Amino acid sequence: AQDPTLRITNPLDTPPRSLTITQIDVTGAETRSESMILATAGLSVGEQITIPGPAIGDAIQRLFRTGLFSDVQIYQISRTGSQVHLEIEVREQPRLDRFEITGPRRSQRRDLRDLIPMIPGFAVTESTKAQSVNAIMRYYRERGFRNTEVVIVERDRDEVRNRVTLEFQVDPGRRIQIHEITFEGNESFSDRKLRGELREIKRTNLWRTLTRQTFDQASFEEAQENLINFYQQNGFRDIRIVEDSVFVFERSRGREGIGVFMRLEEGPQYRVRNIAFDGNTIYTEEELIASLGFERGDVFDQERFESNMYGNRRNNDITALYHDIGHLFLDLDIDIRDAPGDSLDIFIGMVENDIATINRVEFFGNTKTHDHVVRRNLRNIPGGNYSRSAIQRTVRELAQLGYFVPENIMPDLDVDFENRKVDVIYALDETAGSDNFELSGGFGGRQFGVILSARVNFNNFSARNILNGESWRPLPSGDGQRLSLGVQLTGRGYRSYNFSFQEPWLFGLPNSLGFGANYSYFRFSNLSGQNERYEQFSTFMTLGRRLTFPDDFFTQVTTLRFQLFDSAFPRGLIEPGRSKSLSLRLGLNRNSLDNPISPNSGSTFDIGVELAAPLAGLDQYYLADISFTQHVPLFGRLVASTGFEYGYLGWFNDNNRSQYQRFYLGGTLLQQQQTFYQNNIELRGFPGGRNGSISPYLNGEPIGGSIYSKYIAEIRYPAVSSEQVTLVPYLFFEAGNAYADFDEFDPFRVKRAVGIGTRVFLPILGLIDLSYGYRLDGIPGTNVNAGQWEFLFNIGSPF
Amino acid sequence: LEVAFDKAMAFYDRGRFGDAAQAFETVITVGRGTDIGQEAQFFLAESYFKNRQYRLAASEYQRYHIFFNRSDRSPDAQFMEAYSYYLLSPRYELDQTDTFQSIELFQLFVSRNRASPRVEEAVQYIDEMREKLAQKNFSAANQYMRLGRRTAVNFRAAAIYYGLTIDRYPETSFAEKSQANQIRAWVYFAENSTLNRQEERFNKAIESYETYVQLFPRGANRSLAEEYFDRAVQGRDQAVSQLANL
Repeated sequence: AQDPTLRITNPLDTPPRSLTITQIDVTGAETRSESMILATAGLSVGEQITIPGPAIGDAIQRLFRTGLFSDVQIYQISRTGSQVHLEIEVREQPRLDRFEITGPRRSQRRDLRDLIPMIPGFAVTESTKAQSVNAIMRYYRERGFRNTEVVIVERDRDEVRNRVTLEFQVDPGRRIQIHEITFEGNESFSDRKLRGELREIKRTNLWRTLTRQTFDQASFEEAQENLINFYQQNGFRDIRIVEDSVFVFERSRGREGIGVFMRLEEGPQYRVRNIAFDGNTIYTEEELIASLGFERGDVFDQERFESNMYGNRRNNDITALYHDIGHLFLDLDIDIRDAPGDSLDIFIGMVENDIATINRVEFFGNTKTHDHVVRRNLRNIPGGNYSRSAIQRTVRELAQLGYFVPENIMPDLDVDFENRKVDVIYALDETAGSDNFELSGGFGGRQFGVILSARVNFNNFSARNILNGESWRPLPSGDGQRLSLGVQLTGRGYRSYNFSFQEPWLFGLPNSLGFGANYSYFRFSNLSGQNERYEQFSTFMTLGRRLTFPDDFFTQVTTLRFQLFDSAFPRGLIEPGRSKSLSLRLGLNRNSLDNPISPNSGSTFDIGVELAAPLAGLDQYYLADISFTQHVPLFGRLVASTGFEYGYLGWFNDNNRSQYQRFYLGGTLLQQQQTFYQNNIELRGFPGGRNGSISPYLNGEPIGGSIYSKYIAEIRYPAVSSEQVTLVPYLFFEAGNAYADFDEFDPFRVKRAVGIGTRVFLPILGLIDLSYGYRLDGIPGTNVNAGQWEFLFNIGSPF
Repeated sequence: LEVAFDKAMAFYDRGRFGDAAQAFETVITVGRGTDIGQEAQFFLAESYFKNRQYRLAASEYQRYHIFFNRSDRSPDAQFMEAYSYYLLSPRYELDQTDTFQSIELFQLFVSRNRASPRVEEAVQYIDEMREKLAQKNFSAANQYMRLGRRTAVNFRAAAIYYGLTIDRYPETSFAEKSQANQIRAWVYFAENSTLNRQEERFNKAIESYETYVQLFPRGANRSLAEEYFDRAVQGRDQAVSQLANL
């Protein structure tokens, strides 16, 4: 600053003059080129500039902004007539060669290295040094170190290259935790209660040794907000934190702790005296007051008031009443007045305004899923009335597709107040994988060895893009079609391949078309040393229609299926040889589950008839089944499910009866897979498959029932439900039986089991079900006895 | 620095663009503020571009023409930034954020560099992308048309979306089709409406026809337009007389 050329002059005394630059000298540049400095300054020879004027100031600023110089000065060397000769003098900043951190542990050094905003080759300025120290201090403060010291030492100055090495000497100091939280002025609630309401900050004590109760400003502020909210929920509108302090004190023997103190002013507890509405024409005052949920004499809960006014969880707030019928432009004017005796009078004036109609419904962010798949799920229709609940339903249904990250589906409105129109715009965020891959292994019991199975489900497939090479990344996707391919193999002679495809919206209408095929093969030597072999091939096609009557949860499904069995050994009533059947199934089902993985409420109902007509060369049978399951929320997150299932198999006449559809109960799909020549019904607590199925027995051999019954009762607790994992432990009771014929049928003579289990859903793996069941009844004539536990495992089966 | 730059250029010339990009990055960090650094910035963008990393390329081109606004290559960088987004723009059925970005950048390029020989090319890309956006709107309208068979209010949605296509992309090939189809959408909607709303909605179809005749007197879908215009007139008259007889 002691520059001899510095003269203080009043700029107003020197009138601005336009001058031509004749020459610019650049001095002080060492590593920087002259031309770069001139270009950055924006000054050039021959240029006209005004002095005094903005040009010189701008030039200095631009040079400084590069961060390369510690000092920049521009001098006027000489001025002749309308010509000027300038000099730019710069002093270059030293630049960083490298930096080191000494003091803390290696893991912390690594963290700090990323936080310090210094890059080799860049200028070392006072501000980058200060930023670095701040970053280090902040890092430690967040972890509870409040006495951190940082010293920066410059080493190895390389004058030629103008480079410098920095050493950060860090002493983190001692970690200090919160040991005391006290209040003053709290007359209505105890210190203990208030400490609990703070939520964000806690005292450390004996049972909180695992977590560190350190202090940070952000959670302290949040804690104060929580406290204020808590008071406001209890009618203390005037609550104030008059004073707060955070201090370090010596607890004992030189150990320090943090103390937090807050002085409160509670003010009176307000109660509601009167509620009045004005301007309402659509709803009566009684309806609105009921929606607001306050009665005379109620404690005024600010939070409840606001949520019932503007938006609550159950979606029955006052704003929702109007927004759901199109009154988007509802204007509310809320006036809460003090009344004698710590009471409040609430006046709500409203202007209902016109109905808003929807103009455009748009969305963006679908980088994989095609427009039409998204659009067919939009509940807002252009030209219709605006409805908030339609938006909420859309968000829910888009989330259920599994193509988008549910938390990132954001609806937004673009309101055209003048024309009473509104655009609804959804922001979407494609998930990394809507596809899942199941790979499972298991032990199939003494005879079969290890089971390996692999299945890929592509849930957002696009069949029409198969020929479009560009769309293969990694597979053609975006049309919301489902393609599933699976292979299962076991060590000994079992293999199975299957494939299925489904288009949920055929020709742009909510009709589904599906088809698929599977092939299974099983060969083994039985206990008597004979070779048994079974083969099955089947192919199917389904057509589904969403119905709007009786309500829009119904679908009707028609399935045409061709099956070919070939067996080389008599088993039960199955004769060796080939059997072909062609069946048509008509099914009606209703599904109102609110969540496919872990339903909270809703029910499923299925009823179906399958007919395999007695045509030439084909085996015949008919089959009827019905099932119903209902889910009811209990208290808390607990859900109870109950359900039943019945099936009946019959024949049109005595010729060519198909015996492959007989019912066997027990196990899960995984245990049953090698008995594909049976009609297996899942039942927990019983091994199923070849390890012992519930079935009528003839000469010691299971022959399968022609009627079955099954009952389920389950209590579930959805313990974890996040995007990454869903974990639902449950208790179950299941019972069922298979009967030889109608004479034997007794719906309440059943085999029962109770047990515990859990369902786990992982997006990449699908659904996994583990159960551990205790049998109350055994199966006579087998090793499956009452009083035994059975562990069952299944992967990939939907709820 | 020169050596580093030459090394990077060598990678670039040999077609190893990934390595080249990395090398240019280094040159830029070390040589900030030098002429070589400026050159490296441009070739960094080129390397990303040739390596088909268009998003990175776009941001490096942008950095180039913002930092070195006076450079001769600045217009090229502007063009290439827009062109990178053009190459990122996906088929019409997907999110078109990059398309909008590209159009905006091409328009900026055109208005800033009127004399550039690449203006014509830019205009051509803009037209192509607007065609794509029009198709997106048009196919949304068609989807509503299909859904209308299930729930009639979708016909009105279709009419609105055909209208949007005409208003926003009047110069594209979809405008004429949209105008013709809009007549049909209004007719279907009117036919599926209650009697006392029919007249108003048939009138919408007739208005739409009048616009059609004005804008596209020799349009390819003229006969379709005529057919539904006749149906609208007939429907309206019928509705009016039926209402009068009630």
